Amino acid sequence: MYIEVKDVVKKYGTGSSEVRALDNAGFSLENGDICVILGPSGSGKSTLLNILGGIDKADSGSLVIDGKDIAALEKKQLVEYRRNDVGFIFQFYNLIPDLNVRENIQAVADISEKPMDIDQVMKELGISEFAERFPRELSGGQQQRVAIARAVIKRPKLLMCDELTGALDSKSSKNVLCLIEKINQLYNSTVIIITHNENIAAMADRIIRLKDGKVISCEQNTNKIKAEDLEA
Amino acid sequence: MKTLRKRIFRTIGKNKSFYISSFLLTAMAIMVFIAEICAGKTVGNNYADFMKDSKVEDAQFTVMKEPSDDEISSLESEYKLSIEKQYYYDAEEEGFVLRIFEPTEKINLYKVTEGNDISHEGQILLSDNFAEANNISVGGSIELHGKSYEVCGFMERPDYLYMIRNSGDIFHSNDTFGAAVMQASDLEGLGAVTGFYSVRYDDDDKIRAFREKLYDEYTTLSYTAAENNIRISQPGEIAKSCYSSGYSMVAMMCILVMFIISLILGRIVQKESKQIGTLSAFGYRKREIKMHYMLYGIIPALGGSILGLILSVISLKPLVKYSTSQLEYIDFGTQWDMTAIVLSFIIPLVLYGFTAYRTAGKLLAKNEVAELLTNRFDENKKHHAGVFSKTDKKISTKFKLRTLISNKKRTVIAFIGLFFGCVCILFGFAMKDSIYNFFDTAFDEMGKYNYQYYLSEPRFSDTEPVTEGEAMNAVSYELEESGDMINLFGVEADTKLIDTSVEDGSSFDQGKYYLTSIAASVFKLKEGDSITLSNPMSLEKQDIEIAGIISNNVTVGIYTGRENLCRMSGIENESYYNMISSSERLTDENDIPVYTIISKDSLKQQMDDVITTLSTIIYLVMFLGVFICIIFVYICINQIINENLLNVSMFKVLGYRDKEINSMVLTPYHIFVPIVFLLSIPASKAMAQGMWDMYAGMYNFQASAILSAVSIIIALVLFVGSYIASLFILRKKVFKADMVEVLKDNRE
Repeated sequence: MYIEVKDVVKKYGTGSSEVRALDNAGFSLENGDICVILGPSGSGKSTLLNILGGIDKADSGSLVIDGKDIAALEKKQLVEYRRNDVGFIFQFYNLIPDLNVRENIQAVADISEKPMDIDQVMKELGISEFAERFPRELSGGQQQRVAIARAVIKRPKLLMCDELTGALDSKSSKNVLCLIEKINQLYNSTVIIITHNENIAAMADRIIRLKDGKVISCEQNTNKIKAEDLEA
Repeated sequence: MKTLRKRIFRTIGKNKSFYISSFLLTAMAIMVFIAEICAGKTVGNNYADFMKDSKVEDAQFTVMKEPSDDEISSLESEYKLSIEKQYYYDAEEEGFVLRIFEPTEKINLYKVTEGNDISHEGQILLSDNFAEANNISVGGSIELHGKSYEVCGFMERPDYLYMIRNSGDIFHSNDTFGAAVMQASDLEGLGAVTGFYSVRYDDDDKIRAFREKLYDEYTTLSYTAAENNIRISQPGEIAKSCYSSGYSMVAMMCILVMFIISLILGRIVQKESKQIGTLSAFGYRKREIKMHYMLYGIIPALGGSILGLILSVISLKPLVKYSTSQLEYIDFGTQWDMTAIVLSFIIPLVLYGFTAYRTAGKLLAKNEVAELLTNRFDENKKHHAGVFSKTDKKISTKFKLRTLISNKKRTVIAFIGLFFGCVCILFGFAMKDSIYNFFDTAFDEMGKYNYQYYLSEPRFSDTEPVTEGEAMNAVSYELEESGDMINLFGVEADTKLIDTSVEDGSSFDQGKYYLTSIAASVFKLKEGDSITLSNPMSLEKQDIEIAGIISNNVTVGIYTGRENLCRMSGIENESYYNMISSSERLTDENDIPVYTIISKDSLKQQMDDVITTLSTIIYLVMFLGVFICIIFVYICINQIINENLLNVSMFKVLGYRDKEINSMVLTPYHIFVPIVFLLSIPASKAMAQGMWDMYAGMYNFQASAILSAVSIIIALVLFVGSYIASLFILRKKVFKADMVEVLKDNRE
């Protein structure tokens, strides 16, 4: 297994106000899978994504990714993990407003061991013409493509997508999902998409459902379809 | 609007650390400002009131022919004045000299400050500071010439508020010189007394006529007006320096502090852009919104001013005591300067309130409501968008440069704060180096003499030649233009004891007049200037030209030939002398009619006391400099971090190491460090020189501002150290920036 998650617990608050964002969650994924994590608001999707991405720490449990238990990693080691292995794409893009499109992508290329060619990536994602523009000058869909470019430039083993299409219209959403699929095929990145949109699950290799912090199901998708065929 | 106002306190709660620090900083600035100004007023008025109540003299004089009591009465009625002959004796004991007066009746009345007045022989009243410095209490005793006197109380005289023994002294030491009062019979028993006349004028128009009469009929030997008597004028000078310090340096610091607070306040309001947009969307009018946000500024302003005023009530008395540490302390209570108090409320209110009002107004004026609601505005960023984008510079470099230019006001404030702090540090060192250099060199510049004997009777070298040392004469003149007094010294043609080297290299001409360098600085004169001197005794005027400057930073005076001075003063016998300079103590000292002896050792001792007093201030100023550097850098970089918290989190998410992130957000002002330091060196020297020029007039010595290489290195270490300390404190904030929380805030 590429990713093995066992009995992961994440709590917030103490005593009577304690909330278990993740309650002994566990699942496993193969290398190169597209995994969609579904669940209603407050089910623990984002928490799980954050822990898998190394930007939050579980209170207990193990998360073995490519042979490494990231739950046991120290802070500095987590930085290296994120630097080398993980790419993030957020619902609201989180581009750095003071950097233009090229610079936002370059900011990640600068710290990567073997980054891809920026111009090539921008061309692939259709954002070359915006290279000198700043995020505030782009539409949502354009910003999301820049965010994707930034995430993939470092050839991440793991691509974490948090409500990827939540802020986009249906056409842009489909385009973005097609790009993710393309990246998965081209670079064999394991992709984890968290969403509350059931339709997106159809493009996944594995579907995980969360409720109240627990994994209630983790199943292979036997009716996988292409992103371009997804319903609007 | 009432409901809206509830937000204010919640917002203040959210920005607790800013509001608490701005509250305290404002309060401190206000406290220092009010206390300094009110100290000036208190000192000035207290001493003025005391002098008025004590009937301080308008002048004192000595004459060759003593007027009788009837003649004195006649002079008093003719010229509408009061004259009183006063006697004193300088009792020299081991470790101190006590100038003892007999009680006065009309002029220079002493005030008993503690204990009781003298009622019989064997009792003595001492000046407060002398008694305290020598641990003598009321009821105790003091031994003078083998006889013990009961200390029945303490007193102060209005003509000895600045307790120096000789008018040429630099400084005084409370434990080595003081004043006292005892009964006339006791005084006579101690030794030969010195007499002088004190006069108070009721009609200013008759002063000149009186002085002419005095000279014509009684031959005035000396005349010193109160304004030229440092013992009387010094309290006024100190009061003036409190005012000037309060309204200049302190005011500047206050405004700097307030400026930085208003800068941060502006950013806080700017962060409220979404809320401002929402209020506008709901139909709140521009004015209502601006007035609401103005309260964000008014609250810390008002709170800070009130707290500052309260603190100044507590600190005023200690500050007055400190300001008057060189004077005999007169406690008439504290006085308040209403202008200062009003200003201390108005300035922060205007600065902070207006900043918040204007920021809210600018946001509304320059942006559509929709833009405010989505945070898709930023006028500052429009200006620097694209700067350096086409260059090959690293992202971290571009980020740093854009941080510098995106908020020019903050960048300027950081620069000014660093500059001001660095100047304070270097200024402290410059003062220290200058004063030690002065101590090492100034006394040698005076010449090879170690003692100067001022005679109480005139002598003539053709009948009473000087066998040890050199004869000199000294006459005080008034500078016609300013009314200031200046001493003219007549030296021997072949003097070996007085250094008469002229700065421009020319030889000393006995028939010409040469100004000392300190006199040139005090009176703002230079070589070639013509001045009119008025003889205070005969009131005759004489024009002289300054032929050159003699390097001497201790003696405020003009040097000329002895015979020339006799001619100038109308003394027919040009062998007249009234001073003897010598390298050793005169063996026939006791046979010479000596009024006072000034030794270089005593001047050096006084200088030592100056160094001790100034050292505390110097180290305080240095500490202030370090503190200012830390605070300004902290505030500005803290603001950068706050503005870039999301970016910092993103960089962390992207895998940037802490060191790389620190390098971007903590280092934009690195470039200022060497620039500020280099600029601060001449600035601090200029400031130190300005301070010495001010002290020259007050304390009769002139140091030159110097900064040694060692001091520069130590100052650099302190400056860079304080800069790094500030960044070190902020490192934690960058380190603590939580990736998840900040990303959540953006997920809406």
